[in-house]
Amino acid sequence: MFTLKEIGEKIIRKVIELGASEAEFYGVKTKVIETEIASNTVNRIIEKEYTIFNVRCAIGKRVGSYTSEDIRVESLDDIAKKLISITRNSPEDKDWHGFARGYKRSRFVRIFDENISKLSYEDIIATVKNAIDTSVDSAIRSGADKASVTRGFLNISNGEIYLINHSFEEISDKATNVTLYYDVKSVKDSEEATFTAYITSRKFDRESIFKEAMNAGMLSVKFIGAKSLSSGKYDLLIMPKIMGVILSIALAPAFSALNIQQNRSPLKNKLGETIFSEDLNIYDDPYIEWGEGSRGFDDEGIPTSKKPVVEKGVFSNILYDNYTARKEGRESTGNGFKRNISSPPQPSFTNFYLVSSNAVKLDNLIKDIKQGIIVYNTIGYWMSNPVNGGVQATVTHGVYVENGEEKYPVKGMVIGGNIYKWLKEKLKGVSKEIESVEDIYSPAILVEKADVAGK
Amino acid sequence: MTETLDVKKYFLDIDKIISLAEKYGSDYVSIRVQERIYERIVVDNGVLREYSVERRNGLSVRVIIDKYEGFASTNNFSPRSIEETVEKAVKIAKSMKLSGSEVEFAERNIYKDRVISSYKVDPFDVDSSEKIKIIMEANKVGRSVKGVVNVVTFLGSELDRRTVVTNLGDEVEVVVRLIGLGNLSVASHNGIMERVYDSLSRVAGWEFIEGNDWNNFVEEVSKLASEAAQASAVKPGVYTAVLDNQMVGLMLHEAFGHATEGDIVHSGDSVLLGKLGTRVASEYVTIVDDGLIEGGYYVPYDDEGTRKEKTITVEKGILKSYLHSLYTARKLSGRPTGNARAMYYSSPVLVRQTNTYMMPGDHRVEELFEGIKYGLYIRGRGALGGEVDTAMGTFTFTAGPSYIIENGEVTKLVRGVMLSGNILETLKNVDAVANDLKIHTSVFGGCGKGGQLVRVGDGGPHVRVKKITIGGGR
Repeated sequence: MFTLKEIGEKIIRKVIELGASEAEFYGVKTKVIETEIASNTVNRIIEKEYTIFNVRCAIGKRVGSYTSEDIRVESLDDIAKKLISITRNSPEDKDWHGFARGYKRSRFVRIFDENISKLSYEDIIATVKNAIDTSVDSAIRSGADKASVTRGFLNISNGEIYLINHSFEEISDKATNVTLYYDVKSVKDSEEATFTAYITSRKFDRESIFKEAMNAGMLSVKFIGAKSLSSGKYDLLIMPKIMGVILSIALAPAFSALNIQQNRSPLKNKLGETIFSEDLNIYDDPYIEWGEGSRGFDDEGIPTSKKPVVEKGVFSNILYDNYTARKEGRESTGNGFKRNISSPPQPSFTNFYLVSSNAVKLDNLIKDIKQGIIVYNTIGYWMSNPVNGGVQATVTHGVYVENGEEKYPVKGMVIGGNIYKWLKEKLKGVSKEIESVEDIYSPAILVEKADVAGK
Repeated sequence: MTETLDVKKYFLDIDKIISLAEKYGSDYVSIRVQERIYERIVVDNGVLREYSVERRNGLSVRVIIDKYEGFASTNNFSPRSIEETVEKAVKIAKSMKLSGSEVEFAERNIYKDRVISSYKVDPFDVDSSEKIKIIMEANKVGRSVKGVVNVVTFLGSELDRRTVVTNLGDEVEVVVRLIGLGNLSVASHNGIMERVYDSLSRVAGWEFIEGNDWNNFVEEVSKLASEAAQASAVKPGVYTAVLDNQMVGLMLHEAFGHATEGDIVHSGDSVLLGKLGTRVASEYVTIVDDGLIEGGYYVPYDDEGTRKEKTITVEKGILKSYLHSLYTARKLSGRPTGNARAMYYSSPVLVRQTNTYMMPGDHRVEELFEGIKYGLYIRGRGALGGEVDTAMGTFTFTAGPSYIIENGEVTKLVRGVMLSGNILETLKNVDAVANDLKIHTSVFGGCGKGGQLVRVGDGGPHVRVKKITIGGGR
C-alpha cells in the first residue's frame, strides 16, 4: 500500500512521461466513524477508511481529470494512460494559463484535534447516550409529557490531504471533524413537535455537544401547538443558524469570480458599489480557530488570507481561484476549493463571517418587533436562488411576536424576499450573538415587513 | 477508452472473509463489493470546464453477533487490510452490547443471481471527442437563444457493479449503466435573472444519447429560461391545479415516499405511523415503488441481496405497505420489499425508495383541464425539488415555470411557483388522474438521506388537485 506522497509522485512522473506539460495531484486519506441514532438508542456504528485521489493534467491548453479509489500499484500506470487519453481529446481552453504554483501555508490554523484518534467505540457510545439522555431530560424539564430522540447521527472523521504538482512542490494538512445531527420529538397534551440538534466542529468537545443537546430538548417543547398565521407583511427575526444557511445559498455564491465571469452573479459590475447597509461587513476568514472552513492553504496549495468581501456595505473583494484569476491576469486569492474530489476547484469562501458595527443583543431585537416572527427553522431554504438573490423557505419552527412579546409558536408559512433588500433597505437590526453552521458564521437578522404567505 | 469492471481481478476470496468473520463469532455476515465509474463532462458557456472520471472501489463487512451489528469498510484490498476490516466490524458489534439496538431480520428466500441492465453501446467505449462534440454543439445552440446569458451543459455516464454475498447463501451481482444529459440556462430580462435546469437520463448505453435531439432539448430549456425571466410572478393563493408527470413524481417521492420508508416509520418520525389499512389519499390514488419500471433507475435487487418487488404502498387511497429492509420488516411485522440501499460499498443500508410513481387513471390529459375556470398548470421542468418534514407532514416544493389555466385553456406563463401544504390533505384532494404514465431518473442526482445519495426514479400521469396552496396562499 502506497502513501499519498508515493502515489502522488509516481502518477505525476508517469503523466509527464506520457506527454503532459503539467500536472497536479490531490489526495485524501480519511477514517470516519458514523454513529447512527434511532429511537433513543445507538442503532449502529460504521467505520470506514479510504484513500482517494484526483489527478489533473494539461497538454498545452487541453485539460483532463481522473479520480480514483483504486490504489493498487498495478493500476497507477493505467490511470495515467487514461488521463492522458482524456486530455488529448479535450478541446483547447484559450483561458487556460496553467495549474497553481507557489504552494505555501499562510498560517497554521488549528483544525486537527489529536484526541479524536484516541476515542474508543465505547467512548463514542457513552457520549451519544449521554447526549440523548440530556435532550430527553431537558424536554421533560421544559414541560413535555414525553420526549425521544427519533433519528440522527454523530459523525467523527480524521483525515489528511496531500497536494503535489509537476514542479514537485508539495503541501499537506491534517484535519478532524465532528458533526452531531438528530431530531428531538416532544409530546404534550397529545400534541407533538420536533427540533433538530445540529452542530459541526473540528474539535470533539463534549461540553458543546451537551449544550446543543439541552437546547434542542428545550426547543422541541417550545413549538408544540404551533399554528399558521394569516398572510401579510411581518417583521422577521431570523435566528443565526437558519440565517447562515440562507446566506450560504442565496448570497455566498455571488462573490465567486467564476459566477461573476459567467454571468451567474447579480454582483457582476458592482465592485466598489454599496450593496448592503453601511453597518455590515462580510469577511472571508480562514483563521477562525477550529472553524469548519479554516485552512492555511486552499485546494490548489495557494495561501489563504483574511479579507473583507463587503466593507461598510460596499462590495470590496471578489473571490478568485487560480483559473479565474489568471484569466483576468491577476493572482488567486487562495479561494480555490473543490465541491467534491472529482470536480475542479472553484472560488468559494473559507469561512463566511457576517458582522454588523451596530449589532445589539438579541433580546433587544425582539423588543423592537411590533408584529413579527422569530424564525428558528425552515424547510426548503435551499431552493433560494443565488442567481437573483431570491429567498424562499417554509417556516417549520417560528414564534409569533407582538409589541416585543413572544406570543405563541407558528409554522407552515412561506417567507419570501430578496437577500439584497433584506440586508439593505429592509434591514432593521443585527444581533451581537453570532453562531456558526458549517463554514458560515452569522448573527440573527431582523428584516422589516417581509412577505409572509400563510393560511 | 474502455473501462472494464470485474470484481475477480481483485483476487478477493470472499468465502475466506466470511469464514474469518464466522470464526470471530458472527452469526450473520454480509460482504459487499462495489466498483463504480462515473464520467462527467461539463461545458460552461462554450468552454470545457470539466472532463473527469471518478472510480470508486472497495468492500464492506457487516456482521451480527448475538443480535448486535458491526460494519466496517476499506478500499485497500490487501489481505491484511481486509482482515483488519473484519476485526473492526466484529469489535464494533461487541461494543454495541453496551447500549446498542438489537438487530434481527425478517426471513426471506435465498437469492443467487447475476443481472446486467440492458444496453447496446457501452458509453465507456465511445471516444471522448465524440461526447465533447455533442455537448459543445448543444451548449452553443442554448446560448443562441435571445436573453440567455449563461448555459452550462452536462453529460454523465455511470457504470455501477455491486456484489452482495452473505453467509446465508446469497450471491447477487447487479451491473447498471446509466447515462444522461443535463442543462442549466440563465436568462436576463430588464435586470430580472432566472434559471432553468432540466435533464434526461436513462438506464441504457450510448444509444440513448445518439437517439435524442440534444440541440432541441437544450434550446427548449434556454427558451423557457428566457420566457420565465419575462414572466410575472405567480399570485399566491389556493388554486385548482393540474400537475404534470414530472411534478407528480417529485411530489410523491418527497412528500409521500419518504414517510413510507420503514426506518423513518420505526423511529416515530413518519406521519404514516399506525396508518396501515386506513385512507391516506383519495380513491383515485394508487402509488407503487417499482425497481424495474421502464424509464426509472434499475434496482432488481437491493444491497442486502433481497429481490426488489413491485410494492404497492397505496391502493385506491388506502395505505397498504411500508418499504422495508430485512431489519425494519422484522420490526414492523412486514415483508422485506427490497428497499435496503446504500450509496457506496462504504455506506450502511438505509431504507430507500427505488422508483416511486402513481398508477395511471382513465382520463385523457385534456379532460383534466376541462371546467377549470382559473387554475394553475404546475410544471416539473425547471423544478428545484422539495423538502418534507416527515414527522409533521409539512412539505414545500419549487415547481418550474408554470401556466395559468383560464376557462379550461392554458394561458400565460408564471414564475416563482412554490407549493406548500400537508401531504395527506393534498393527496385526498386528488380528483382526477390521467392515463399518461411517464417515469424520470437522473444520472446527475438522486435522493439524499442520512448523508447518502442514491439513484432513484419517479413519475406518474397528469393529476388534478382540487385545492393546493401556492406560496402559502393569501
